[in-house]
Amino acid sequence: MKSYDALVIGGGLTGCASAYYLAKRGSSVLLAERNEINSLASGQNAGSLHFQLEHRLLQHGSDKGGEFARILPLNAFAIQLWQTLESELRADLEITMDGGLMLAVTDAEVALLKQKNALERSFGIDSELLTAAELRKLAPYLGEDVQMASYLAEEGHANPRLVTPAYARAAKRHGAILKTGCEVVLLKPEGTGWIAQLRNSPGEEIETVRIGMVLNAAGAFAAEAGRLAHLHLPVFPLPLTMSVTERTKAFLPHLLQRAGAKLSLKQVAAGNVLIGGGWSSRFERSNGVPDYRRRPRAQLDKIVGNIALATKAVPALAALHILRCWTGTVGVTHDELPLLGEVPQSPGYFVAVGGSGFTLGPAYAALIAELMVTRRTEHDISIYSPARFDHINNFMASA
Amino acid sequence: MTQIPESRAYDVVIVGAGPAGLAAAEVLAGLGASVAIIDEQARAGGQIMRQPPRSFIIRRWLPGGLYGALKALLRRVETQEVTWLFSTTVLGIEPAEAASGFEISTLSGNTLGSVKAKRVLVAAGCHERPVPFPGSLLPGVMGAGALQGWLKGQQMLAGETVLFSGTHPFMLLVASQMIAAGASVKAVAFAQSRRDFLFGVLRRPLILLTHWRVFLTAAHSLWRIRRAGTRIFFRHRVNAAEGSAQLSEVSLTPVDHRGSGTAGAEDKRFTVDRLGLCYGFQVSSELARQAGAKVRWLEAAGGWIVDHSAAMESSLSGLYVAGEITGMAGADASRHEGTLAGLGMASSLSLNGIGKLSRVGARARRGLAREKRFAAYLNRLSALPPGLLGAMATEDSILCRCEKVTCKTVREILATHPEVTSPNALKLLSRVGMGFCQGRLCYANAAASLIAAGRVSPENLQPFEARWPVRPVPVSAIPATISDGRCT
Ligand SMILES: Cc1cc2nc3c(=O)[nH]c(=O)nc-3n(C[C@H](O)[C@H](O)[C@H](O)COP(=O)(O)OP(=O)(O)OC[C@H]3O[C@@H](n4cnc5c(N)ncnc54)[C@H](O)[C@@H]3O)c2cc1C
Repeated sequence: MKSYDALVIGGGLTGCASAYYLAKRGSSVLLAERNEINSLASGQNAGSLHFQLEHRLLQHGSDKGGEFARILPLNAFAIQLWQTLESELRADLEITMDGGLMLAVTDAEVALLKQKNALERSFGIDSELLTAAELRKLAPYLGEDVQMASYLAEEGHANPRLVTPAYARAAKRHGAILKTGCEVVLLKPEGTGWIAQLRNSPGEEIETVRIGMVLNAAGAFAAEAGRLAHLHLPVFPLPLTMSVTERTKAFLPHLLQRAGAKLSLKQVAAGNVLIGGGWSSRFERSNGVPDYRRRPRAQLDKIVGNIALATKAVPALAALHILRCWTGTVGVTHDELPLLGEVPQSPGYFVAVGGSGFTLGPAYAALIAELMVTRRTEHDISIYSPARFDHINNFMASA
Repeated sequence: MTQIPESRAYDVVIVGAGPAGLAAAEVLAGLGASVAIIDEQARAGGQIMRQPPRSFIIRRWLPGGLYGALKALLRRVETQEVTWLFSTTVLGIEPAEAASGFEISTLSGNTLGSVKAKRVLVAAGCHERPVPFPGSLLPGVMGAGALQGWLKGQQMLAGETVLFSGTHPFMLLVASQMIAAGASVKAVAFAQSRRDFLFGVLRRPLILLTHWRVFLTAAHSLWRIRRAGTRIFFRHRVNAAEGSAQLSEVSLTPVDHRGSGTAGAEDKRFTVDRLGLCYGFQVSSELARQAGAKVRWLEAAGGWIVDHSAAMESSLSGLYVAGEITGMAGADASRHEGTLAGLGMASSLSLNGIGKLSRVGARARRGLAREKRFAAYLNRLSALPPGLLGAMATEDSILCRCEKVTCKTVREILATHPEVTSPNALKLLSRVGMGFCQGRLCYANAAASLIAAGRVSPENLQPFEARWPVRPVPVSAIPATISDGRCT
């Protein structure tokens, strides 16, 4: 039976980056991906590098906003990683960090921005409020009704098509083994480690391996991958949608978001403008029940709403065509904080999953690899630990 | 003809006003169903009956006996009580979540619209298969079908001097039509051998009896082509299309029985204005796929063809399909399938009077069986020889024309990413299929490069995803209705 120090479940950004950081630290790593590398959320997302608190974290009032703001130290760490990632991975990832603007159109949004800024500054994120006059200079492409914006110089975007494959290649250079079409179907604790069963397609043959540690990097399927080890991980799949315009000449250097509405906008290197911001799609049903494994179905009214918002922020979009819309599924927790750490009831079982997983994927991965190999992390990640679900997993623990 | 307000509800909405759509409309309207026919074109008839604009009055716009039945069908439906929605593109079909029925999202001009229907027939036809080779994007290089469309639609000459190259006998027809219209056709070059054609017929001699009209037309075309001094080559492929801003020269290269062969001393050069290509057709099934119908990959039949029952109902209840998207079989087969789909929908809607049409159904089934046999013969005959694509595409040839992705880029990406096994993964890494056509043109070539690299077998291929909108939409067509973004 083959044996490895670590088995990574999932070949998205978190999984491939974790495999890289683990292998770089000298672990022998097997990564199992049941589809293809980068085939789900990590290859389907909007590619925003957003370090200001997003609309979805602000919309539930200031108490909640304060709770969600506990993500901000991770944002600061992620900024450092993105700044050096292209040289670290020796690849062009189309990273631009030329600044991001969170727009306020209504008075309520202006108030929200002010409150958000105070919160961010208390966590060391230096966002800056810009007036309409200042915006006209910095961002002449903005619509007239933008009153104010919060600017953060480090925000920007990178290309999701390129980042995960680059991590995968780098992981392989460090000796990690990446298997695609390979599903983890069973996990059993044995001795100080684990026995894992893998099902390889297309032949469906089962392979058994011995491993020291397991990392659940299954994204929206983290709950399912938790159950493989008889654990409950409260991660919920949410179906989202994106639209993209035809190419046009470069005119939009910033990442744009709105403070009080679901909007993200950016222009990618090829010239297309990506429109998103968290509008929903809908799960397809199989045999009457929502099927998270199928690509969600785009909903016309949501797409129309999203594009209408985008055109209001950047009127020049009206001259372009929408080429394509797509959907994807992201895994989030009820408290919007990632699940990052070892499950106390199940030694050797680690999890790294959370929303904003493109912006934060490299950070999740670097931190979890550090924890797995050294048993500690330089940045305190205890508030993200799965220990906050002890009250549930105490019933599930096999030990 | 009536101009209708939007979001009207119909018993049946038919997408595509070609032979399949028209035949279904005839059955349904005849039984009193409310029917709307939607087509991108400005007039009915589809590709094959491409009508001249109304302003041209031409008595015999489609010569040849082949089209008689189709022309008659068109005339009949034009007198029926159906709603025509021309110059309208269908962007998507949504099955209603709770009840039965569909909402069909449309774009006409710069206006988004929608219509409702209890049943939908997708009869969206096909388009020509492009192949990558040097100079394939040069203005003047066209599909033979596009050349013919030009000829039929505007009744004018596409170019003065023309060369045809491909695998499909359809080239003979277009060549002869162009000659009749006054063009000088220098040559028609097939990649197959003359023996392939002869043996194809000899293996199924009955086809000569059942399809004598087709062969007669072919013979007539050949006769006209020969008389005009046009040369016919077998076992030749295009090597390159050349010219500075516009096509001026084409070279042909001899190939072996696999379609392979490298350019060299035996090449033949021609000075021409137009190159008409026909390396087969691809079905336009993306709308049926977007709706959720099951499809199957059958390259020789046109790509992702839609599964259906004997009544032409797809795997998605209430969504019917007819015509080329069930597998390339030509206009007559499409017409028969349209009739069967019309009957199938009529019976599922329990329309009165359907009992009287049992003979119509029986005739269509017989006709369809006959046409499918002929289609199998024709598809086999015109299939790409296995080595042809590989021989034609050079490193710099464009595999995806919208995004200008070269064959070399694709090859390199496959080499650096040995784990890539699906067209969707290749698309994500290479941008193949991300442009205006959304992969309708380049999918088959992307799939072929994966198959040639041993990454996937044809049985395990997956299509590119098909989602709303199946065609690009102007942002300005999107109403600015929702302004606060609160709706989730
Ligand atoms: C439309 C959309 C837009 C988004 N926009 C942004 C954005 O702009 N910025 C941002 O920061 N974030 C964004 N996100 C979120 C971000 O994409 C995700 O948080 C992130 O990609 C998650 O990465 P992951 O590696 O955890 O999961 P995934 O990429 O989903 O990877 C998980 C992998 O695990 C595999 N897997 C699951 N179970 C098993 C098993 N048992 N065996 C083997 N393999 C298994 C799956 O096949 C999958 O490939 C967006 C998400 C969506 C859907």
